[in-house]
Amino acid sequence: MTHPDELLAGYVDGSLGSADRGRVDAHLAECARCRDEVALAAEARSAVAGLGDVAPPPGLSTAVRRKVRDRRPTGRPWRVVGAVAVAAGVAAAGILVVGSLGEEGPSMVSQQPRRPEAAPLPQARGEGPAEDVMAGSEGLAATGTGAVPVVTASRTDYEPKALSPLARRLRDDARAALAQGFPPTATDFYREFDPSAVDTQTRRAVQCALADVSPQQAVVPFIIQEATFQGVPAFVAGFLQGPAPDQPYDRILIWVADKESCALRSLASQQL
Amino acid sequence: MDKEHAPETASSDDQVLVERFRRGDRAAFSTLVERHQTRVYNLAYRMLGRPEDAADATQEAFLACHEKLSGFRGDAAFTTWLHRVALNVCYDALRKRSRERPDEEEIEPPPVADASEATATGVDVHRALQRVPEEFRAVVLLHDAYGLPYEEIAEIIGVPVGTVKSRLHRGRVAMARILRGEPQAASDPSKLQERS
Repeated sequence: MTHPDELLAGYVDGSLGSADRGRVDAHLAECARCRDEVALAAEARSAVAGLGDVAPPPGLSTAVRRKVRDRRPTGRPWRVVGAVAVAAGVAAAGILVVGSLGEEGPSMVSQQPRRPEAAPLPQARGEGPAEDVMAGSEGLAATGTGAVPVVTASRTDYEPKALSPLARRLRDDARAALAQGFPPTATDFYREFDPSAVDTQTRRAVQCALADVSPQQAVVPFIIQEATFQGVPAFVAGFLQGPAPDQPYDRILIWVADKESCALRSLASQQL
Repeated sequence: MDKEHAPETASSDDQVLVERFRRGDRAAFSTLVERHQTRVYNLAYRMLGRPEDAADATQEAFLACHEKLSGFRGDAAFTTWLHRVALNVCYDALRKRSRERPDEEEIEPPPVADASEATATGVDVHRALQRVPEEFRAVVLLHDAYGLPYEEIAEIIGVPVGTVKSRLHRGRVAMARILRGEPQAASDPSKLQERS
């Protein structure tokens, strides 16, 4: 006896045409084994259809994005790790957020480069144990040889007079990063940014730091630190800026924004 | 399960996102991940049995998807293609598992159910699925859990539609026998071959 295996699934699904259904009915009338199987198949169909979805573990999509980002060949020694839209949609802002910020004095950078593969990858807030990225004065990779996808935090309390020296130090790091392949203009930078890597914390920091920046000025956030300025919580940001988006940067800005209101509190700049 | 996740509007939205991604918009890929992670994770969970393996497989699947998406020609629905990528990752994981841990009892065997009991719990069903040979399990899942039509499953797996129907029937029968406590009859793939 030939069993109509290819029709039995459709028979159980109720999707057969009348001719095929008639053939199966005729067969079932004579074949106890197929009758038994049809009953079994209907039972399994119902059981599997009743399975509910299981919730994926929290942070799975973030882990996916991180994995994609880590695997992506960049062709450059630095990694652009995030971007957000600036006000009015005129420009987008990316951020190269780099290693741990110095705790000793107002320096935001050290001169010691860090290789990308050696850089730790702190957890995004809210998705795992909070990781203290304030690892001392070493390892800030604004030299362009490494990047850590977080906006860093610091206990440093900046004073106004500390901003100009900070701008000069960041200038050196920016020059080094540019020499190593950091995009030379804002246009180049935003062409390569990776918005999928932005976590909420980074987005908030960039948006706040850029809140008072005219959208006509295409600036590239180079580094942002959550710290305090004269005792009040603030974002201390280093921006690169050129005379136009498609022209090489000629200045580095230190921009201090109030963490609460995002209003500009102080500013320093340095020719590159 | 989430049959409602794949209406036509979602499908066309997927195509838009894929196109945006191919033009350099990386946020579009994040949206695709958010949109499909539950489907991919659940398929991997039902195929592999363990949450931790499913999470790994989901990451691998999306990573593979990211790497291959530029070559995605769009002549199949994105979800069809994504299912194929995810299933291939699951098959690789199962092969690796059997190579590295050949003697391991993969999933705790299901309790012998009382055949007179009309319903099986989700846990029993999940465990029973793990005892169904993988090529049959995949078809049963794609059709009965996700509601995919035979033709799409054939495209995902790369076999004729008739083979899909046959595997579906044999997989269902195997599954029910396991649920009834007849594991011998179901876990031996040779007994699932088409009869003549």
